[in-house]
Amino acid sequence: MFEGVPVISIVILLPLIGAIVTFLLGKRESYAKWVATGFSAAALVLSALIALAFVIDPAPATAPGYHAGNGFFDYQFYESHTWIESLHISYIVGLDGISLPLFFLTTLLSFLAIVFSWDTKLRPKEYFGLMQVLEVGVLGVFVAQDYFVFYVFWEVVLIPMYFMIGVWGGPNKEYAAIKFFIYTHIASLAILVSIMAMYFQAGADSFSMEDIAVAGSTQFTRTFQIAIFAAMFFGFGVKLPMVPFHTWLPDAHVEAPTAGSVLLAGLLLKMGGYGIIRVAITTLPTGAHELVYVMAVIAIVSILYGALLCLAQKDLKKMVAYSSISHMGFVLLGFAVGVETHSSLGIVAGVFQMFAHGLVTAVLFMMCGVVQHKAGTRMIPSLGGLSKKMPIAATMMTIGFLASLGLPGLVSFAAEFMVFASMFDAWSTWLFLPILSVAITAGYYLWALQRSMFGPLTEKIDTSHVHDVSWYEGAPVGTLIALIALFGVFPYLIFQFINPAVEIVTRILGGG
Amino acid sequence: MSAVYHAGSFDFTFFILWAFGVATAFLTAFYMFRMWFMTFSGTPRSEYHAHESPRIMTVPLMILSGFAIVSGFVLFLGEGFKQFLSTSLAGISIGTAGEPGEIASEIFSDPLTYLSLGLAVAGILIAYRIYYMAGFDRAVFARGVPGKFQKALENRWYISKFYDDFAYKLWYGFSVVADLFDRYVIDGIVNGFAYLGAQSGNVIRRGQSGDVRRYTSLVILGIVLLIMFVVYIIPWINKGGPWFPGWF
Repeated sequence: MFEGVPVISIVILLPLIGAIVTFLLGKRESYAKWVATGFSAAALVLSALIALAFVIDPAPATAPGYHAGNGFFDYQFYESHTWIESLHISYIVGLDGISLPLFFLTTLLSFLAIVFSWDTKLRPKEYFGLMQVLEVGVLGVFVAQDYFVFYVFWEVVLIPMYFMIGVWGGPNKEYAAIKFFIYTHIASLAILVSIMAMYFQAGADSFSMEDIAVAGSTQFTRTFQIAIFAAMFFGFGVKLPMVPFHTWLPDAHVEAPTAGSVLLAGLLLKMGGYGIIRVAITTLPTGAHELVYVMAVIAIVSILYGALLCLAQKDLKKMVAYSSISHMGFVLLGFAVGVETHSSLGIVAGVFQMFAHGLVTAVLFMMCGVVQHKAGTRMIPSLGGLSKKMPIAATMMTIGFLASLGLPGLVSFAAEFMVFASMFDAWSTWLFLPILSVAITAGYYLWALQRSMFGPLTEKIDTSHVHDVSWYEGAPVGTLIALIALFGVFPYLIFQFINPAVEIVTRILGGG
Repeated sequence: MSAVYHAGSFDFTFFILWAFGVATAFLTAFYMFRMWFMTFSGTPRSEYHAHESPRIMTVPLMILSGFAIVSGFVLFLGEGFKQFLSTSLAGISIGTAGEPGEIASEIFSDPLTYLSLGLAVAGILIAYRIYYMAGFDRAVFARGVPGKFQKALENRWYISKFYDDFAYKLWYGFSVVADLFDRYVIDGIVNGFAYLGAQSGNVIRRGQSGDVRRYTSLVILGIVLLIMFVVYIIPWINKGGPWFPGWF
């Protein structure tokens, strides 16, 4: 299947065409959601087929579009075309086991977020068009193998998200949108400067990630690696987000529309983690080795501090936003452990945690949206006893919360347990620090659930018009819950993709 | 239990554990029969008219009680539970294989068995005296033991209170402090940078006076600085400047 077909480019083009068609609908605004659903569904189906066609075992050399990475990552469905010859810029895309789960996650969450926004009344053309542009940008980040193309896609993501917060956001949307844009843009600049520095230092006359990594393994001095790794780590870490560069996140989430939050937490944060593993650690292994304790400390502080902040939140959505900081800390911790021990367990766990968090956090933000939509407020003290009015929503929210706090059998448990297990290998009893977060996490989720969904029905708000979930809300959440259970019981379905790619990372780290 | 008692000769802790076990046997017998007497005998204390439960509840109960009665006698059959245990406790020695019924005879020849049996019977009898036979003034319990002990018991040794205080006051307190820190210190620094940027823009803006002669002189100054940079600074960096030699 897909022999000689530029299938990755087709997946990226589908939502791009969809976006253009949506913008050009003119007065027929009501068709916007149908166009968006159609094109994103097509991209989802195609990405699922790619996952099926992806050759895992034994020899990927027989895989369609196989490209041996010369010590760097091996890719499948590889496409390489010279774009701007004089500047040594090429359009190179490819998928491997690290990007494939995230690639699939992107098409899945984009499709579900579009369905979830079915009753958007305010400027639907622009809304659904921007959602598809966002999908194009995120997909591009996960497949681009040329730094220039990577950076272009990286910046493309910012613009639709800026408008989604700024136009369809809450009461303080302008502040949140501008803060999000400037903060993450400064981080992008750190990445751009690092890319330029690596390009000149490597002297390979190419922006290809592979060429720079291969040339860099001899050209990059120790000092250079430390300096550039620090800059890259800052750039990607803001997106992750890591403490103390996280304050744009709660503001953005509180003001963003629900679907925007789903994509922001489900996909945009993953770009940060993806950049660290694809670019920073593998291209600058010595820098990673030297700064491994910085990574580990920031990861553990993010895990604990994020969880602690959740406990104090009165806004349901702000609590979920802070929980993302805590859970993305696990990604960073897994990577740090991998760098320290050269073993694949921690890195596989980190990549899997990105995938798991994408599924779970989408459920959480969607349920916050349902509560906001039906009850009119997300403030926990005003809520209470809503399970009597919305039993299905309460059930879904409970499953989402349990999944997020790491209940065995659901997807986050596999990821977090692996991070803990690998951390014990690296730093033994220091494990007691991050493992404390398990108790805090259970505390804030169950407490929030008890105060908002159970107990006596609230009298602080008018609950006479509170209904259960609509079909366009229930169907996406139900789909995600099914996947959370499936990959929770059979995490191997994802591990089988991640494992071979991560072995390359550990090989690079071992030699660096 | 008997094994724990004999282990007491190695370590006194085991003897204490054994004493706790025997005391628990006494208390269990007492409270179980207290519950039974208070539930099923005597005069009804509530208005509610109790009736027999439906089949769906009684049948499973009958099956479970049937096993409860019979399962104890497994001890008399062959090696008892040892065979089941030996597969799951592979590698742990649980004594030599004995004759059929050996465990049972061991148990019945041990005086300790009769001590705990006696205590259990005593528990039942005391429960019978207090809660079945008439004429015992139960109000004596309500008066209780005066002093702090009574108070500690009433508050369940303050364990729940400790949990509540620990979880709510301590950790929630931490989190509120962390939230304020996050909002005012960390985000304050972030917004401080933004303010700094806006304010410095406000100051530099005043340089845009519209005076062409001034602009021209600034342009010339800039060109001079640029030439100096190219002529002096770059060669100096290339000769092994302080940071990364060979960048330009």
